Amino acid sequence: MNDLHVVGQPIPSVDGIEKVTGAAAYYSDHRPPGMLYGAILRSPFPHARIRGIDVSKAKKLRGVRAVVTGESYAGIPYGVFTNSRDQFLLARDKVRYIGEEVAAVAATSQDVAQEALALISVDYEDLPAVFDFKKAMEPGAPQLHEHAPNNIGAENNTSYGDVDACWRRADYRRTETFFCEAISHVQMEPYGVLASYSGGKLLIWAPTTSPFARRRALSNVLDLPAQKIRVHKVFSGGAFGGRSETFPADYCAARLSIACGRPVRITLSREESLMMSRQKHPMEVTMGLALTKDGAILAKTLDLLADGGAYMSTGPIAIGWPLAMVEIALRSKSLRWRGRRIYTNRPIRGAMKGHGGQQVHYAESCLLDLCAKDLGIDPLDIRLRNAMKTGEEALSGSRVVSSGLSEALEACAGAVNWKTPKPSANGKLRGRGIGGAGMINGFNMGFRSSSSAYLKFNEDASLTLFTGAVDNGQGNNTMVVQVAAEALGVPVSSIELISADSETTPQDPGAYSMSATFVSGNGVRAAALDAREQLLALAAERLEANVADIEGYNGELWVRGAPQRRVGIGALVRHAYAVGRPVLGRGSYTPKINFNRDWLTPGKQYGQATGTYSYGAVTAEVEVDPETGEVTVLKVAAAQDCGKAINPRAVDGQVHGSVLFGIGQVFHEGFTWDGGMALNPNLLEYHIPTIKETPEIVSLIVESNDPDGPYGAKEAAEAAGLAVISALVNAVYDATGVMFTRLPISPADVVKALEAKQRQRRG
Amino acid sequence: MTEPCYQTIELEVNGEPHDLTTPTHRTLLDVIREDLHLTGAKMGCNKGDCGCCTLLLDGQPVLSCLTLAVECDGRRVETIEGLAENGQLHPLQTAFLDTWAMQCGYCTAGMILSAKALLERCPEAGVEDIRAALGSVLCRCTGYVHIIEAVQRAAAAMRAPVQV
Repeated sequence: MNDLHVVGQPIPSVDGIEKVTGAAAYYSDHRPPGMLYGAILRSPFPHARIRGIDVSKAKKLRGVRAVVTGESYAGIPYGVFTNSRDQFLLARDKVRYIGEEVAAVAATSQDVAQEALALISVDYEDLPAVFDFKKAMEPGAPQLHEHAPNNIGAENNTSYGDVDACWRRADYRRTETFFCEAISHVQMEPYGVLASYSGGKLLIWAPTTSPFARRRALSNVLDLPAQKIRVHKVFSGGAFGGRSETFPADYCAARLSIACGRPVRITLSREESLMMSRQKHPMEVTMGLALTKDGAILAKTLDLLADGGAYMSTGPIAIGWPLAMVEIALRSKSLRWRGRRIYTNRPIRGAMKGHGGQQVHYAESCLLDLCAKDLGIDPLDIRLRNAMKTGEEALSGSRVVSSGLSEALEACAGAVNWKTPKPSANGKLRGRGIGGAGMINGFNMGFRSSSSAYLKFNEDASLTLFTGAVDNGQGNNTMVVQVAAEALGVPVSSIELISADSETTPQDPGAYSMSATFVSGNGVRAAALDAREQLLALAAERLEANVADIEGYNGELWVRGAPQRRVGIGALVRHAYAVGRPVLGRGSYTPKINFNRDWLTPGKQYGQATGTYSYGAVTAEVEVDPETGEVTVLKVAAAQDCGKAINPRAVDGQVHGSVLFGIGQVFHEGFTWDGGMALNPNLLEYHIPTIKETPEIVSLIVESNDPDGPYGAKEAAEAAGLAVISALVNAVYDATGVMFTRLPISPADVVKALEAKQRQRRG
Repeated sequence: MTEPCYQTIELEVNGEPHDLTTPTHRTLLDVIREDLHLTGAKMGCNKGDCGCCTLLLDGQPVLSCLTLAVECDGRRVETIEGLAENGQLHPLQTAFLDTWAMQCGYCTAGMILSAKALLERCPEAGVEDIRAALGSVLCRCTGYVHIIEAVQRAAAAMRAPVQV
């Protein structure tokens, strides 16, 4: 791999120029002629029956062009899975959370649209509601959905190995319960959508993680054939898992546009975007670990309760999928898993960074530090003792294709001089913490598990690459271009990228589950290699040499050992056109996973879960002020095994972002509730980290050179993103002696915990 | 609905004068985006919490979502679209591009304009100055590390003697 020319180079982002000049067009920057402004009427009740809706006054308001309600709903209910279709994208007879969509209007201005909403009258019958996910499971609790007795919407029970025997023969056992509050993705771009229906065709502009999944869902809920819907590529203002699904705003904009024949744009307010798109599942994880006295893990037991809110969304994944991460980082002889996702009258919870993996990792990695302390083992050593290595098989039979976990642990420990004494801190408490984690790179997504790509060469040796790969800011556009340039032997500047358009680009998994680099990157590489073969054959004919002897890069090909015998790609392409053999590359990649494995059915959770695993490890240094409870993060060293850094600068950026996300989740972020209503649905009171909270961050790239990754590459920061959480909490534990089992940790929590500890000591 | 009050104002935007008649309740952000089609300024919250809508008004950063357009009558507005001159990127734009100081790009205009005001006021700005000046713009993607680096690089480039 030493002869790489483009892969491994920190080239600028291929779409960066648009971003720094303001030319990048997000959905809200499109304004087709005749565009109307849409707005959505929302339920003020957490749980109510809709007895009637009167829209007559709204319709009469000057400037209103269309009003739609759940009556308009012609297709099937929305759901991520065929067996989880539980949501009408405009409420029909019931609303189940505050903010649920009840009606929508399109008008000639935003002001008129808002005024029209106030003229719609809805007759609600208030129903008893339930907000506590444990109470929701009790007998007699208000029921949200008929199909889900005791509000349990999804359940996953599985076990591997003889857990009871391992538990009995262990030298040490401990069980603790951890809880994470609901948080938001807080993409800087509030959600919104532009829909335009004309001539029987629906055009959509919206930030999305997959134009294909979006098209499919819209096809279902609108009862339109797929080819009559086009989801355009737009610049996307961040996703973090939160642009994965099809939202009521999509349905409303489309239905309004169909009703009045004009384009309709709906822009959610920040509050709507925080509360009524998706949130991260609040989750209580009760975890047990059984170990030998020298720190080998014999058994892991996990019991997950996830508060799913009003609808199913991606719920089954959140309580099943993290298993694939827990079993693959720290080895164990046995594992028992129980996951339940519970309906409550709160906002809908869905996919977000790690998708349940962070909550579970937090429990496991912090419990491990408690165990390590009792056993007198250093937290780094206990992780190295159990870290899974390349070639090992997890309990479910899934194989570690490549692992840089041990290297990542050593690297981040080295960056903070882990084994040296902590510096003293003038009355403050200093602490260091560590975490290590594994992450899947794509998984069984049915027919959408593979990624395809094609490309066509132009007569001047430039080319257009078509891939369904999505870039929500992660750098995937640059990633696929670097991969294609490397495989083709052409300069990056010669590639025009057409991507993420449901009509012109081929099927792709979407930027879910860390699949982009591994799956989409490989799909693009396959198409590029296909075209490369055609070029080599043309060059061999032209240069009268064997195909095997042709080599070259940077747009030229020559005979190995005789570089004066050379030809430019442009000449080959023109010749190819002339003789009717145009250079058209085509390729696809399907990850080597067991497509019979699923994440819910007992007995079917065996076999390869993902094409490969990536790993990350993080150390953190914190300083705690015992007077105020304030925690200052001094330094974070984050090591990511990304296989091979296709663009090291892009990887560093991903790692930095994951670190700040972790700081937010551990110390700042979380909704506070009054029943079904959040009390802090704005960016002043829901605090995400600012530039002032950025600590010293050391990004460390570990390259395990995955045998199946494109040029050895894997996903670029999510594994480290998991480990940030426990590294920070474990650092606070190291500083204070208190393990915080609830996130976020506020200064008041710290003060209270330190006072309780003092009382205990005195008492 | 009550008919809005209109007012005619003169704005100098990126060096060009514009006469505009607008309802008095509209914000500078609305007018810049909807009337002048300069969509580089972004709406992130409409409450002044996120800074994505930051523009320069007479050289000073303002939250354009909280600034009424009519307050800007006779004043000079700079947007991200006005930074490049004769096809040459501003040193801040070059530095943001080279360092990957943006990911999704939604906050980028606000970041670059805030940094421009800082470097014009304080060419020797250090890391703490940068943190203070950019503290009002939120970014969810980058962790801010490359942003700080980009502003430092641009500051150095702007201080360097012009090469002829």
